[in-house]
Amino acid sequence: MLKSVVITILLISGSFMLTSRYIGYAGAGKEYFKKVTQERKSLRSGSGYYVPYRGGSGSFRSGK
Amino acid sequence: MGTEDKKELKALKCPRCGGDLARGSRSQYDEDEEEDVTIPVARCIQCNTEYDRHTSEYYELFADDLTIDKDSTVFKLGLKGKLKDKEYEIIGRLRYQDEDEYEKSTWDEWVAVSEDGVYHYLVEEDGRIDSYEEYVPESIDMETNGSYIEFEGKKIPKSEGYTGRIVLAEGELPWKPEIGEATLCYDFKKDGNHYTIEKSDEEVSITKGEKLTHGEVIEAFQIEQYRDLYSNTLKKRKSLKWGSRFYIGGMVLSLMVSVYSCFSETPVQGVMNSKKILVDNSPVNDAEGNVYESQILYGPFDIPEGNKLYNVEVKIDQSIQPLNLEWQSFRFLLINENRLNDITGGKITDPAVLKDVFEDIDAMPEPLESYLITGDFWDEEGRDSDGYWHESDLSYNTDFVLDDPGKYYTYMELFSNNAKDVNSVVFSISRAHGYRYFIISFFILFVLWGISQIRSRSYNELPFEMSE
Repeated sequence: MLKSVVITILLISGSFMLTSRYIGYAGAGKEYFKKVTQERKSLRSGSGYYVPYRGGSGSFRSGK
Repeated sequence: MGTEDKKELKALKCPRCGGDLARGSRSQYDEDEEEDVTIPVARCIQCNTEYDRHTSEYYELFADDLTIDKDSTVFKLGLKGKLKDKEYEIIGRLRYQDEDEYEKSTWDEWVAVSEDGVYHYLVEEDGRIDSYEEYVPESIDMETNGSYIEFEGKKIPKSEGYTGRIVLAEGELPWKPEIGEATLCYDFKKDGNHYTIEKSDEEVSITKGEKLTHGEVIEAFQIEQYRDLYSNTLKKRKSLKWGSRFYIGGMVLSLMVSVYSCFSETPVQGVMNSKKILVDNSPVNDAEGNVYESQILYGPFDIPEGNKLYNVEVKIDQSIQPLNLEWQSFRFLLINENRLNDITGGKITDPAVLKDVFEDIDAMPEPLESYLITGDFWDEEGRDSDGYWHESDLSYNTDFVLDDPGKYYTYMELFSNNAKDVNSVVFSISRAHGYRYFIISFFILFVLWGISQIRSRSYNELPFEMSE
């Protein structure tokens, strides 16, 4: 029984901790600037990254 | 060779030709399984006559298989004890096999006799013990109606009867049972009591019973060797049951937090109140062929809290313009007002400046936007092996954590294979509460609960099955 109590408490408190610290969620703002700036630094101008985004049909049926 | 051995050999002969019986099998259609199954039979090696589970010969031949676990029991012959303040001694035992089953499906009837000659039957089946004693009903009619037995005003359907075949008889029984002997049984409940009617060729026996725990049996018959094992088993099962209750508690808490989080989003107000259409369905040539591009700037709007989780939902508003057998993709950029002011030199309201800025937005060494989301909407139809299908995906949502509060703009780029009303793509931003880890915890706790439930029923230190 003690094992169950410990496991339950660990899981619930772990969930609270991860949720309250937003661990695993994408970061907007500074984190995003840093990530994208690094990406852009590693790419030369004229390479693939600078091709403006054009979407397309993205259905799973068409497999695109 | 003793008399018993001679009897055994005699029993394994074919009644038709006197040839030896051997184990065999045959294939037959099973209505429950709805397919052909292979069933065991006793077969005469001389005349090839088959004896299936509706014959005594079958049980004589297969008795060993059906009694292989006969020593796995709390009872034994000669055991003396006190049940309901009456001294009893176990004098015999019968093991029955359910005739409907090919696999082993047995129960034991232990016959106990009191000092005043009253018989008591202790029935042991699947780890459960029931104590039965002879019962004389106020009224019983087994013959008048073909479809049911009338027992003290209660109708017991005859279709509920099943046949038991004796596969083991030992001890000093009050009658001489034969291996394979058939007994038609009816088990039923009336007024909270269990009753059994057993009908054989010679007689009808009615017994009334109640459940006994293994603990009661161990105490009644003073079986010292099982006392501690029984107590340990019960303790462990109780502990596992309490453990499973904690898991349920954790599951309920996880679910409550998830539901609360799911329904407690606070929308950021006015995100689409103000907009500037910079480009409206401009034709563009690219790998997809001719596509239409639109650019819209929404805002400013206020995001009041920093370091919080936000949810963005972008969707097609079908009431403005439906998406019908076509696709549309979007690029959603969340831009801080200060950064936009810096890059435009304060000319934030000048469409020409804005257009120039957004033309080069991907070529900037540092991103202008605080966050970027891309996605597609589509509506398609077709035919496959299941026939016609029509499917669509008209919304997209995602979560992100925004560190800085303040005034923000949303720059939206839309691409489509047909010219579309730019107002048909709408979005909302909400302050959200995460719950994914609670959902994960819920499922982990559910699995653990299932395991501890199974263990709380199956844990056993005793050398025999115990279901309580």
